[in-house]
Amino acid sequence: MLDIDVATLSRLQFALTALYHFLFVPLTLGLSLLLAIMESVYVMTGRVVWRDATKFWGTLFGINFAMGVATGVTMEFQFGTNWAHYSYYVGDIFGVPLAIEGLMAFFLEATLVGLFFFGWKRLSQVQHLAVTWLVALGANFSALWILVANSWMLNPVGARFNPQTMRMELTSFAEVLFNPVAQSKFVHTVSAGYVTGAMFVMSIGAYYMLRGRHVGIARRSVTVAASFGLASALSVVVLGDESGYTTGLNQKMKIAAIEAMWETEPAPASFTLFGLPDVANETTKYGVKIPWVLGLIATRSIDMPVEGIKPLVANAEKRIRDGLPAYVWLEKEGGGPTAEVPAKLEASIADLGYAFLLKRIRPDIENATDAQIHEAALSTIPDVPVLFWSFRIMVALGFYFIALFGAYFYLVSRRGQIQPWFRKLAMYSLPLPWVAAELGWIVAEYGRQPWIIDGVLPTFLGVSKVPASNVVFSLLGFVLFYTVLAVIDLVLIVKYVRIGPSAEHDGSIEQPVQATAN
Amino acid sequence: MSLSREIGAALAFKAVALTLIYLLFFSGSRAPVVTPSEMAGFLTDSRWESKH
Repeated sequence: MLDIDVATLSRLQFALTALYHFLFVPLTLGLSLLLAIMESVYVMTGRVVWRDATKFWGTLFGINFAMGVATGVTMEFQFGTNWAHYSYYVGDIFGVPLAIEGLMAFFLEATLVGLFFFGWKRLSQVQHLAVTWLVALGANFSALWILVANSWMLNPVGARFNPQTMRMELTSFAEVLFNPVAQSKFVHTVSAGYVTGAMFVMSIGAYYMLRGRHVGIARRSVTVAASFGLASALSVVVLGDESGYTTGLNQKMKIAAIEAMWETEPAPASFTLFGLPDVANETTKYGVKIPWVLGLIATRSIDMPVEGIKPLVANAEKRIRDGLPAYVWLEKEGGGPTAEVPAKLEASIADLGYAFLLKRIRPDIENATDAQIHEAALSTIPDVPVLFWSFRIMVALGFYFIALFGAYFYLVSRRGQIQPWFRKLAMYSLPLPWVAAELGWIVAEYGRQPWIIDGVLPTFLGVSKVPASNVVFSLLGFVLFYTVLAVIDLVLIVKYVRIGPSAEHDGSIEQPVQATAN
Repeated sequence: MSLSREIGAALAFKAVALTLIYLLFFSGSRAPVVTPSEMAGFLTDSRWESKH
């Protein structure tokens, strides 16, 4: 029998549901915008083939939306049941953007999706176009608020600890909203969604072109997808670089782990292109480095060093010691109706989260030995090999997308012949944006460990005091539910891709095109 | 079966499954109630036992 604790099981359950939910999200983000672009072309030109293209891709968007909707609500279930202490400790801040997302963005999107599907004959062209743009806007606003909440976990700004209520409380909503981590993460994530939508359209369009089916719609769709995809893939890389900078400012250990960088990299800091991280010996073998690049990404300079894992562990050790006086005071006064942090402990309270790391090692942490404090400091290192490889595969895929979209865009814009092998390459690249997006989440969230709120609350202190069996059974329930849902989704998508646009909507009426024309 | 019926059936399945999962594992009675004193005890009580 596996001996897995509640914290690990709860993390596994949350990771499963989040990663599954995120299979649907990027396609919704990207495809909704592509629908708006295609319909805009239809309204501006009056050419029916663009309306037909919008309707066809809208059908696939509808399947994805219907299958994906509410798959994220299970995470809300878990907050209350599996993560009660986390929800109590930070719910005052974390809950605000989540509530706004539900009330504002999701309702906007979900309501207008109905108008998109049933409004073709009831609304004027311009009215329907406005609906389609609002669906895309709603989807993107949803992403904004979710990422504002998520980014607060990575960079907890605009809040302070209240020892009377024993939780973090909001002090500045503006700081939470304009959190630089949220801003950079939002634009990076939605761009990744646009890449996913573009790849979806380009791959399926390439499939039709290879078989000489629905060529009118396929040719135009591929042209839009290639150009939109190229712009989006370039954005992902550029905005990902900005995300790297904010991470370098706020989560130095994550950057060090992504780089498998044990010692401080002197200025101008080099980026490790390839290497084999050796955790046991705290080194990276066969490292191939690119001069200056890490300094430019993480510090926007060539004269600043980038701290390595070992000095960051030493810093964590100091912060654990600094947080202990606040902990000792909290042990006596915390939760009391008159508890006020003494002025002399203001600095110590900022490191309280670090002191909490010792709770995993011994309950009476004020009596921790030097060796135990060092052990707790070592626990601030995330899983180096996983981060190192996830990041590099994600980045490599990002550059591959630029090359693929760029080449396809070049070929379609020159109206030259496209070889079948190249179309097959585009077709078989379909799953790759999802791989990149999921790896991005792993880098961001697995790289946050051991914190549930960076520097404030360790993950193992966010869980509920519930029996492990409860989490095991609900986890099994989710696996079963999501597996069935995934099968239904795949069956429906494949079925309606095979059917393709209906006869009157295949674009062939207006302008027959040769199968190899682009 | 038309697409709207297929999606309707899938949504019905999802609604039933989510309701069941909620009732079985996440209903209000299963969610622990956390108060300031409970949170203080959880974070600082020396009798608090780590699973490790």
